[in-house]
Amino acid sequence: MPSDLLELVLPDWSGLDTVRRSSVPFGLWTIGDQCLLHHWLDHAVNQGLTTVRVYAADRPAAVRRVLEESSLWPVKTEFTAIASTADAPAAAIHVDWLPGVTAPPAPASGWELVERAAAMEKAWLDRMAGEPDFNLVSIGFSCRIHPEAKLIPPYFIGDHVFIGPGCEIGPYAVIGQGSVIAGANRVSHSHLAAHSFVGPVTALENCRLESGILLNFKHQARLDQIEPHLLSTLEKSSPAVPLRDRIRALFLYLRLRGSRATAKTFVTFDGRTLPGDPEAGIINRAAWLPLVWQGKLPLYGVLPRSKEQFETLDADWQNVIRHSRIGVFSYADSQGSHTPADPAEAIHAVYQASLPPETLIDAIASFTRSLTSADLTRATPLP
Amino acid sequence: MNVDPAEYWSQMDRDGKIERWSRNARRKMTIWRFTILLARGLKRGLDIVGSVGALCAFSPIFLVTILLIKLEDRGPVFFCQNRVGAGGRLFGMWKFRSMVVNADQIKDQLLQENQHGQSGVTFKMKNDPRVTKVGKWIRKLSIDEFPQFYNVLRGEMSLVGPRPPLPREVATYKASHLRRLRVKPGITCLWQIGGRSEIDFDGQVRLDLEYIRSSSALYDIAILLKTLPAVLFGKGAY
Repeated sequence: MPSDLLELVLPDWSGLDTVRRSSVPFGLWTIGDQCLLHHWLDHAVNQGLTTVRVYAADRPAAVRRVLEESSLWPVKTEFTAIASTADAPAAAIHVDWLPGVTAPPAPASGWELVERAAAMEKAWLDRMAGEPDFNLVSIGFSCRIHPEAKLIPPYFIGDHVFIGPGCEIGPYAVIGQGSVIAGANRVSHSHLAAHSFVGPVTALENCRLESGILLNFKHQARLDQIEPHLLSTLEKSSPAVPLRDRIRALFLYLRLRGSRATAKTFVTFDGRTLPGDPEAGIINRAAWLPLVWQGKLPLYGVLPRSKEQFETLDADWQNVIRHSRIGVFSYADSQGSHTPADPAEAIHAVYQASLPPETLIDAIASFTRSLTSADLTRATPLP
Repeated sequence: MNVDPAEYWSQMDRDGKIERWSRNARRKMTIWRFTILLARGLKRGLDIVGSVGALCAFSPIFLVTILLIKLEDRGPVFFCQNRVGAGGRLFGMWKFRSMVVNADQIKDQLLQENQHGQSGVTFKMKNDPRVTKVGKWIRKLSIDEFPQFYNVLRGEMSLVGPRPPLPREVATYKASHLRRLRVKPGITCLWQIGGRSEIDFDGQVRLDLEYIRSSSALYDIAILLKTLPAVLFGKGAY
């Protein structure tokens, strides 16, 4: 093994993530100003290493994309998707804490996982407060901070942040980029994710605010619905289903008119109730297409499967499929298997789930173009 | 805001208060989003207006320089160098050629002869033997940097921002130095209007961070205005 190589393995804690229910694996959670994996890239740069090889079992497509986009670091990155963390080489370092420090024992519950992230952020802020350039790096660019606001180090304020009069920020406050702190707020021991809004006269302590959801570590509470003038998110609400797909679904529905849907319904493994029969094949699609038009179900994705069907899969296949997007038409359709009851479908589903979502869209779209209404009324699967 | 929290919360139950507060909050968010867009738009607008203006205003200087370089050794006029831009992405930075055509090979020789003297991150030396006669003059007057207005127009660079480093220099950076690569590189920055080449690398990064932190459209204009005398008197450039 060359000495200028750093091997990292990302922990697979997706089963533990019951509180935050994050869409990204633990290795990509934001700690301070950047995600945990980027802190390790910083470490590699400081050590003068030239190659970083990353192994990940949890949502490998997301990790691969982040690595491809990290062009800032002058190191070569390589990525390998593995089935489970145990498959990584023994020399690889576990990315479960900040670099250069011995990590505490692994978390056992969802709250321990989010508290671990908070503790890591505290350690990062402590380290940053000791830097000689703390004043230069603790506040991002084009911020507007009212002269009457009080900042108590250590803190980190991202780019484009507005802080109103009479605020008390810190100690141990991280405010993500583009946030608005309206005025007379107290924020300490808290993390506000990018584009948060905090209304006037609101105090946050031991909290994490992300896309309008507040986690309170002291009381171990998760608040999903908060009055928008108190706390909310400034993120533009990106619709789950893009308009182009909705229109495409409407056209498909009109073209495939005349097919009948069954009256049965079933519950998918992630708790969604869908019309149709999970054992039946392509006949369900006529019932699902209106859901795409309503924005409730994406057009392209892995086929929805019932809880029983999901549990018959191997544990690492479940892991890959659990976080992938469910859609009306899947890659398996274009390969000729149309129901999760078909064992070949799971192979295609895992293949599709481990790639970025837009990779296979062309193959699926060409399949939908070749569909006729006769295909949907036929009870037997297509040849 | 001088409101007693108890009084603030006691107003909760009055009719329509919460709706009005939500409306105010939404308005505040919209205004701030608009402000961010305006700040970005102003910077880009200043870049486009400034670079188009400079390209037009300096076109006589361009013509004279092209003629002089062509007359001296008939080599190529422009010189495209890979530099590291915003977010670590590479782009080709344009310059007037001020060195002899095979400058890179000669530099390797020089480095071998001069192994002990070189310890810094950047490679710069006084009385570089590779610089041509015309090159010496256009470097003194900073004319060799003028083609970068074309990079500014293309959006790879900005008028004001940290100078784009060479990939070779970035390979020796520490993680704290990478912070200067997070914004678009520029033609001039605080370092150029201050000591120019007479400051060490850590001080240069500190100046860049200082600029990044306090950047605004007005500050950019101030730096541009201060760059003019620094260029005219040729302070520190060699």
